[in-house]
Amino acid sequence: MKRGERRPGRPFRSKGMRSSSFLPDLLPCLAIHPRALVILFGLALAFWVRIPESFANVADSLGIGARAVSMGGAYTALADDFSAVFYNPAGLARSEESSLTVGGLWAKPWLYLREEGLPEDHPHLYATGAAYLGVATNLGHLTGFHQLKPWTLGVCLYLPIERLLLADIPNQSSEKRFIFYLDDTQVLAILVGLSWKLTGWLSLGVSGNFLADLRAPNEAVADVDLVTVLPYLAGIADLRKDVRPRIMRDAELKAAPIVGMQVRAAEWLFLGITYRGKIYGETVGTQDILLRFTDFSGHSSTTLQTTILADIHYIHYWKPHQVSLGAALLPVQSLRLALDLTWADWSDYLDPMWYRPAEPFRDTWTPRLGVEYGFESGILLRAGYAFQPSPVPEQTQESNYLDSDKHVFSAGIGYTFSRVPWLIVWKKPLTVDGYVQYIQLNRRTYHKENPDLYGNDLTLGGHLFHGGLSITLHY
Amino acid sequence: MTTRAISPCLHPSRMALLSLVACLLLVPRLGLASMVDLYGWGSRASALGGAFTALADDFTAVYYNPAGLMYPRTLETAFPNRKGIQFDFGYVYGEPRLYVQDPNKRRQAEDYGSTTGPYLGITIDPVDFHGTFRRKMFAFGLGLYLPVDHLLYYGRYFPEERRYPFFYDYSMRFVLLPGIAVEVLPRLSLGLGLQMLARLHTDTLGTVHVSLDRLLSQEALITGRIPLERENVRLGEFEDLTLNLAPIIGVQYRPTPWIRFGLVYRGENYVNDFGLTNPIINLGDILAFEQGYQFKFVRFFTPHQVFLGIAWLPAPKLTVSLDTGWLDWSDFHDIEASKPDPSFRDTWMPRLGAEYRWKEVWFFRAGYFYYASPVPEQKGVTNFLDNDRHVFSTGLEWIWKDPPGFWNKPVHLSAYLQYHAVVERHYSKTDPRDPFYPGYSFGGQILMGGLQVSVPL
Repeated sequence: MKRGERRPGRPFRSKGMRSSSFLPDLLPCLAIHPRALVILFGLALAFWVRIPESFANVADSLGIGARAVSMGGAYTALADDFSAVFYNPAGLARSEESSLTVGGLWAKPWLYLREEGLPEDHPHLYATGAAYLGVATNLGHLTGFHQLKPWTLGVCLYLPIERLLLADIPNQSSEKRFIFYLDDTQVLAILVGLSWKLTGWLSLGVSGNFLADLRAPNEAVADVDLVTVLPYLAGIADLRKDVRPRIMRDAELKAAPIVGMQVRAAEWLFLGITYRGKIYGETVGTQDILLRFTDFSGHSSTTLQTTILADIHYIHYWKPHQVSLGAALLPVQSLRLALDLTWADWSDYLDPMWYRPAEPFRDTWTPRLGVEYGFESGILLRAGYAFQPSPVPEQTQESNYLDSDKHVFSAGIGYTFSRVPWLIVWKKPLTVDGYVQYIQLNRRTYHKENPDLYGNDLTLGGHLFHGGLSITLHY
Repeated sequence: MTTRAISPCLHPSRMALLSLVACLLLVPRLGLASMVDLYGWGSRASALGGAFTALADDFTAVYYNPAGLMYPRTLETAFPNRKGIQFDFGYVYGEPRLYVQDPNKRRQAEDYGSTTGPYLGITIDPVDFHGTFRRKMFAFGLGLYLPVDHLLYYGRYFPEERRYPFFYDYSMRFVLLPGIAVEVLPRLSLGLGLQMLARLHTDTLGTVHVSLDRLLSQEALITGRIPLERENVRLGEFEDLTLNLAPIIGVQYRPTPWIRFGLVYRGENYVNDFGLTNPIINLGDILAFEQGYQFKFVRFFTPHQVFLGIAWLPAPKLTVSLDTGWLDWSDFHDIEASKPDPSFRDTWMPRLGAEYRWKEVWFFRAGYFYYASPVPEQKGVTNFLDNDRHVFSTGLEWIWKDPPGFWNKPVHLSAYLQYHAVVERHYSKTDPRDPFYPGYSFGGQILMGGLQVSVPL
């Protein structure tokens, strides 16, 4: 590939596209393939009837893939690389070749909290450093069987550098926490998708978001003998005993569905729709504590014992049902505009302690806008914007879920090398993409109804920086 | 076997790779034991009794000897448009039937459940990165095993309890093994595999509130149980799961077409589960105290091990392989992260396998290995059950050269069976106060089998 040529797997390339307008193209195909819509709705219905639940992942929180993030996440109609497994699995089929993407990202929130009468607080929030691997491979291209050309497989593996999973669950909802910036990006994510190109203008796709739930029952013994308790209450002794707890860990794999459709309505217009199932991770277990009230001598003769049975049930990384509608316009060959609108069913939210908030969260509508421009030199510049309204209502009572509306700005650059002379291990086209993203949390104040009961008014805000770089090998 | 010219000097990138391998040799990390360690992996390797260190040439090389990825088993079944990629899909099922027998009592069956699950293997033939290197000197492989029902399961038991520690939950975890091989000299390859596993840190903090009414209720006094309502359990949790990698490093040398040598090292590995549980127990607002305890568990311990193998191909249709391995069981840590008393002992494991090819498309295999138990007689309070085992295996493979439909490439179908004769053993207890005094016997058998479909592209 020479400089200035269109990069593989991207809509700039009109290879295989027919030049007919939307309606003449659409109607005959509908007549010939009515099964297309039936299959799509069948797929959607099958998943909707019994929606499995699983972990959310970084794609929900920050986005995944340099091109998608730099275009503000407005990618439902445009998705055509590995990140389609999240944005719209149907887009995988747009690629007739194969690509392997390796990327890294870094994100750090700087948020503040002001409580009336107290100095400003900057809570400790984890920075995220992560690597990801994406594969989009046309099965016909991979196997050599032309019968498999309509099928494309996509895989995305996101791996936080420091850990596989971090979960930070509070023990009460009154704890002041930025609920969406604690651990959402600190979890391994695996997405696998399959796309089917039914006709030249219509493709369907489904992907699964794979991860695990944990079941962890614990049993332990607490000896309560007065010989030990009295010095403990006086602060001169430690009550802790040589406890030998019995535990069990059981991690089970499960998948949440993402179903999508992409339509090339005209040479200059792409449409997409994606449904993402409600997803969250659970830790379910018990803390069974055997209390042994022993005699005054403190000897082992037990006088009374009883077991406290405490169930625990935690929810991690809640993300609601979502439906995204997207349109992508190609008014001229070098310009692409994308627009998305996403509805999220936040009113169904359960907090990390498995409680529905006393003041339920609100459903949200998120508009996203992205633009990409290709220069003669082959350089692609991208920019994007999204407005993410907060689902969290004003916290006037005991609970303190901290969040506010967000403006998301992003920009990126990409370039495809037909061959990198100094790179000795790869002689085929190679794309380098980079991006930055800035998220502004609007200043927001929670006015407490009763400061004596619920504490003083809270003001919060801040920003988050996110950047990343990726290399894509086309083969 | 292809003969290749010897490169006069090492390329810098080759040197870098060798250095990396050397560094990894010096820094073994922690990983996890698994179904693969217990029973073996892959239809061919399992049927050959696991005597595969010198022979490893399919996806299971990521475990048996990653260096073997360099020499994929093509069987001269050439077909057009070969892509150099092979997929292996398999399914295994195993059933341990173990028992314990107390003196003057009937045998008591020990139920450890079955081992069952699918696996996937992917191998990529040697590549030269589009002519960058003078010859095809890098190869890759990946193996994935997913047990049915669990991604990972383990439970804590006390060493005093009478259990088979290596069957309790060893096979109930996923296995993901990537591997890479590089041919440093013609016919001599080095390989690196990585066992991936995690280390779990869990802290549980908060308050458990037990009202006086509940504490002194009839239910509490009679049944000794107080189930609490949700609002009385205010426990938060911090979970931090991090990745551990354990290396598998191997060498394979094929000096002539009829003899092969292999050497592999697998790093010590176990899962490390630790944390702090410290709920404040509030009894009716009269007495509140911390139950706090720290815990640390070690599970799935697999020792450092070194296997040396030789494979002999006296005729085009016959292959015989022999392995012997040393396992550093004396470093064993029990579930409470301490060395048992008495300590386990190092063991040696011989493996033997043979394969015969008949009418080009049929392969018949048989194998044997001997597992010597590292567990000394349990005369004291601990009761780790483990026996010596004679393991016999057999298997066959058929190459479907011309499958119907549009699939015009060969398909390999294979199966194997494995029988573990668990040698009965007796523990004599010395302390009359021991609940298991004067001792007990235990033994049994294990049946294991699997099916595999291999699809070269």
